[in-house]
Amino acid sequence: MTAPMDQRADAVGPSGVPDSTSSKVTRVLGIISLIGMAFVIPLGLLWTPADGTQGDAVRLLYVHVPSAWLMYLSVFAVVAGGVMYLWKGSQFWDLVGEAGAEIGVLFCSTTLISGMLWGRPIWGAYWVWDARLTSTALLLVLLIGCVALRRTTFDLESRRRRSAWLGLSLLPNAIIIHFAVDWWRSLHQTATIRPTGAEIEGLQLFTWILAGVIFMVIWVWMMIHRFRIAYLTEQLDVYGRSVALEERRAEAVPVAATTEVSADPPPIQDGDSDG
Amino acid sequence: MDDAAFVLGGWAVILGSMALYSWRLIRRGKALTREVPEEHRRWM
Repeated sequence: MTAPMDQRADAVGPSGVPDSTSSKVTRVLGIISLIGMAFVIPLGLLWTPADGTQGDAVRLLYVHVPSAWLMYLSVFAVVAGGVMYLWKGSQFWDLVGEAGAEIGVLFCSTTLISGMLWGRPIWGAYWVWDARLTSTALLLVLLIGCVALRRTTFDLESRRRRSAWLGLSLLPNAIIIHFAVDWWRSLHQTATIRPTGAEIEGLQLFTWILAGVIFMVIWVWMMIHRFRIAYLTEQLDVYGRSVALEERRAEAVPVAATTEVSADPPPIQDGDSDG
Repeated sequence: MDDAAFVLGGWAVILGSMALYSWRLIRRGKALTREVPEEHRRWM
């Protein structure tokens, strides 16, 4: 199997094997993320002007929208992982789907919560049963289902196949979320950046794009770490059990030997002695 | 800043969640790596 997503870890211990899920690539991505966030935070909260219509509440969109982009990206990872696993049957794509599902739960949750905090001052309500909001809430339930299915006790192949099929079910929901504001009359605003042009410009547009790029770097960092965790967990399931079994056998041998050498036949108890 | 509680709250939720999850990923990765036998500790 080829080495995917910077699999040749170089965060090695004294014995030459990895001692964590970090590597040179993840460290570089981590540094880029921290430096990028050091610019995004003051840009989003202080340096950009307030919006003429939304006022300072527009500052929430610098993190709410990138969070939603990563939610879509995570769904794409789950769907692509599912399709490729069903087609190729490879462990790699199954693990991509597993990583995407958990990270998807994170970004779907943050998208919903930050959207609610934006909706209160702009709409006057934290929540409305709008098509986009409702379908996003449904997506969160489905993503949690994907994570839960991975923790069931089905055998490995069955769990992978079921997870792949469940992952595919996210696709129509993600399409509905994206187009809901165009298909139905919606309280949620339509896309601000379209192929035909953006509704914002200048420092606001720059901040938005920078936040999006930095969030994507963070997403890649998370995917690599989560992928490796999923891989290690499977390794532990497969090999950890055999190692534990060998250790127990090794422990059992001296005990058995001691028992054979020193154990005298137990004294015969007279069962009727009491009565 | 208008609506400061909502704005700062939203940023805190997103950045806080991301930071917490990242920290947890690193911790889980380190703990798992120690448990897996060295000969199986390669990235596929």
